[in-house]
Amino acid sequence: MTTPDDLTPALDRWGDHLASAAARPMPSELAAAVSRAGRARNHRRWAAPAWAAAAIIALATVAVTFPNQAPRPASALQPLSLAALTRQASDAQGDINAVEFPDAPDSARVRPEEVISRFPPLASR
Amino acid sequence: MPADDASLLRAMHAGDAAAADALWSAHAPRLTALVHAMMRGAGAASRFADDAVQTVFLRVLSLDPDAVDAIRDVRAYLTQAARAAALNARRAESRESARREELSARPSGAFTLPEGLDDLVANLPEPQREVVLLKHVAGLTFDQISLVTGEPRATLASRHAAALKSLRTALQPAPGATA
Repeated sequence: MTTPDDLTPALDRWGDHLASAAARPMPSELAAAVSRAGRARNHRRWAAPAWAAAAIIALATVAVTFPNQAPRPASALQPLSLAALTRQASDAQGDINAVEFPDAPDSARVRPEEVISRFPPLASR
Repeated sequence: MPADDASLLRAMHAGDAAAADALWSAHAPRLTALVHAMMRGAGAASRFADDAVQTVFLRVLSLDPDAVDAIRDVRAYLTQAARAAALNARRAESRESARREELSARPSGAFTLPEGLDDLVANLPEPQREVVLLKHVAGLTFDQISLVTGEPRATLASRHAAALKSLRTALQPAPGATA
């Protein structure tokens, strides 16, 4: 007979009794779900590196196949000489002289020579 | 130990079958017993308790890794989830109480408390009964019960003391009764 004095241990034993009676092996559905979770985790773990490796291989393949298309490093660029700059400026001036504005009124026309005279070439400064 | 449980939980979440088995063995029996006791009177309580506890574990697997890392007290977390499942199921049961009345008259199965404590616990007021179940069946401390129910520890301890007092009173031999 349970007496009031040993009530707390009796309740603890009751809980133990219920728990031991309720013990079951882990269900197969749960074991399968855990296995799936492991596979999904492994997939996530390797998916990103695999994509990165594929991208690197693709870029390397393009660089080897089309070497002339690859951008040259900055150190390979040669500075233009003063003569080359002057020649380019002269060509540009010729292009400006060739521009015509047939619809503009005479008062609004500005001859290209006037504009260019206000901005002498760099070499003359 | 909660720290070991947390490691097991993370390992199970990562797909470690041995960790899952260890966690199941450590917690599933008490969780199942708790749900069963909370569902007392329901015809399918035993089967429901098994399913509910399995669902609790399956839900852990569906959590984000960050959410799993945030679980500090695994026993309290699992008990909270199992309790919620039992409460939801009990509400559903109450909607069909008339239809289940006949089933509830069946014997409650293997879970019987010797010497009449079973019925005495079942007849406690609901708040007191829940504290008794969480403490003695689920095996939680008052701090863990506070985590599970969201109620202050002092309130829970007071309810537990009141429950024990009621049980002791009920167990007192009637005056003049022979031993």
